[in-house]
Order: sequence, then C-alpha cells, then structure tokens
Amino acid sequence: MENFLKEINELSGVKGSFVCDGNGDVLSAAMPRTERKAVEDIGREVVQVVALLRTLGEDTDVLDFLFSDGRILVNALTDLSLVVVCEPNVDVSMVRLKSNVVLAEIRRNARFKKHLERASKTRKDLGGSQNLDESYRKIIRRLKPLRG
Amino acid sequence: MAEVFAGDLSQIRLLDILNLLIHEGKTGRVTVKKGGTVGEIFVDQGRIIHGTAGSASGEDAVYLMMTWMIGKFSYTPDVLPDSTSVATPTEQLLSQGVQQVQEWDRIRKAIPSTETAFRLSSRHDAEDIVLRSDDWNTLICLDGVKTMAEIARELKTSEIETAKKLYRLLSAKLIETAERPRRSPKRVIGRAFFDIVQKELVWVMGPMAQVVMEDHIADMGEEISAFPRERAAELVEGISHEISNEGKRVEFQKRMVEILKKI
Repeated sequence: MENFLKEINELSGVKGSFVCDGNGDVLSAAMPRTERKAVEDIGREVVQVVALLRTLGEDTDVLDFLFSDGRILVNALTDLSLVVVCEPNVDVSMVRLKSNVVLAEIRRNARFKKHLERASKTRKDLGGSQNLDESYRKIIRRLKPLRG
Repeated sequence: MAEVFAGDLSQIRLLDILNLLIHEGKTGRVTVKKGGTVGEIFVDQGRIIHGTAGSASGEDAVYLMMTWMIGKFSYTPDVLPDSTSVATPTEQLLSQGVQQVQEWDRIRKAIPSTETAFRLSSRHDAEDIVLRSDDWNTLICLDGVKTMAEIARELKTSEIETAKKLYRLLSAKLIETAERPRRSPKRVIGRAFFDIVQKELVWVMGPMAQVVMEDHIADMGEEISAFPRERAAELVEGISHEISNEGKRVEFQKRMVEILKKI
C-alpha cells in the first residue's frame, strides 16, 4: 500500500499521505520521519470530523482543510480515509484525481480487505458519538437541536 | 429506498420528467447532478413541495435546475423532505419555469458565464432608466473585476436573480462586460490536450463528450483557445463527475492523471 501512497507523494506540493481505518488507526503511511507522530493525531481528528458530520446528517466524503501553512485533503469512505498532507497552494484537483485512482487500487488489494474485515469487528463506531472526544460531543449537543 | 429510474438530461428534459411525475400523482425525489452541483426536487402526490440546488432553494432552485441541459438525473419514490420550501402551485411553477428558461436563454447569450465581469459603460448613448434600490446595490458592486458569481454572493441573492439584474442594466447600456484581469497563467494549454480529453471521454460516455467538455470549459469562464495550464486538472476533475460508471470514471481519471503530469 505504501507504493500507492508514494505515487500520490510524487505530485508537486504534496508532503506526504496516509490511510487510516474507521477507528482512526493508521494502516499505512508515506510521511516524512519528522511528521510520524502527527500522523496519528491527524488521523484521529479527521475520522472524528467525518463522524461528526455524518452524525449531523451531512453525508460528505471529500474534505479540504486549509491552513496558513498547509492543507489537508481527505477522501473519506465508510471504512477508510485517505489523507494527503500538502502545501497550501497545491493543485487540489490533481491530488483528488490521483487519490480517487489510488483508493480504487487500495480497495482491490486482498491484504487490505482482510485487515478491514478484522478492523470492522473491533470498530468502536465513532458515529455513535459516545466514542468521540468531548469537544466533538459538545458540538453535537449544540448543533443537533438547531437541525431539528 | 432504491431509485426507480435514472438517465441523462441530454436525452430527456427535466420538465418532461416533472410533468410525468405530476400527471401520475407521484411522491418522491428527483436528484440531478450537474458537474459538482447536486439539485433535488421533491414531489408529494403530484405537487412540487421542495427544491434545493447548490445555494438556491425553493422556487429558485426549481427554475435553476430547469435550465440545466446536461447532467444525470434519478428518481427515488416515497422520499419526502424534512421541510417544504415551495409555495407556488405546481402548474403555475412549471409555467413560470418555462418562461424563466426562455428568459435565461436570452440572458445567457448576453452573459455567457457566471465568471463574466462587468463595469460601468463607457458609452454615452445609454437609455433613460429608472433605477431601483437593488439596481444601485448592484451597480456599486461593479469594478470590472468581480464576476457575476461573486456579485451574487456579495448581494446574498441567487445567481439567477443577479443575472436578471445585470441583464436589465446591460440592456439599458448602463454597464458592459469587462475583460477580467486574470491570474497570469504560467502556461496556456494547446488544442492537442482537448483532443486527447475528448477522445478519452468519447470512449466512456459516447458522442456527448464534446458537449460535456465545452460546457465545463464555459462554466469555468475559460475558452479552449486560452485555457490556463493550472486549471487543467480542475477541468478533468469536473468532467469526470459526469461519468456515472465508477469503474470507467476511475479508468478515465487514471489515464488523465498520467497525461496531466506530462503537459
């Protein structure tokens, strides 16, 4: 799987990429050594944002986090997320095109399918909100009444 | 609930689909996808009760979707919205929708894209016109740089309403379209790229490929003769959303990524 991620990393403006499952656990990463710790934190946050949005009824599978010094592009499927860490001015469309292709390849990978089957049995189901961090549960408590 | 039927707007108009559902007294949701925009119209026992399309809702959303000549549609029965947004009786709504489409065709000839910019006219033969307060609000937004889409966002009105206001001022010769100063493109793509895109697209979607590609280029406010290299991937991404078959879409994207890397 790392080879697939390296193909994404070859794009101009991409710093690194990784795949995490529905629990936020990192399955494979192609990131600079200095960023390895950050990968776990980003994975967990991304998965929680996706779970938050879905809990609120927003069915989204493409996220774009833009910061002053970087950009994080996410393709979030039901059971995994592909996260690409980039420079702020990266060609977003190019990254999205490549990410779609890589995701299709990853999903066809037999070893990966086995991992997902194992992971789904122990999945904490972040969408159930009780497994989200307190900050996210607070957002849900505030927003849910407004949405009816 | 599974879709009952689906198709392409290039083969059948949305108006015809709605007339069928209304005539049959159906309840359900019509979903239309045009590029990256998704619109929905809900019918309840043959009455249109709710519509959303991008940032538009209610009657505006229905009128907007009726102007879409390309896109994929699907109908899912027995799905109702959480709230309703259409108050106009259905027959009147469709009749006004047809008029809106005809008016929209006239407007599109004068304002070809939401990326068109405007400025005060330099001509001195403008007609006499009584300006309303919303005309003033529109005029003060014009600076020769802001596009119609940006003006709509600033005025917090729909693109259709903004286009009508601009068309009124354009017809009175108070304003004119402006050459929008562009980000200096690092490179402009040659015609050969579009020939390749079209060839790849014909393989996955047939003869509609050229129309789809040209429509996307127009929606982006660009022209084939001066298309910036930096927007090539954006064009390919937008076009790929029109490919409904997931396998074909991925194959198209895979081939196009390799081509984009070389240009």
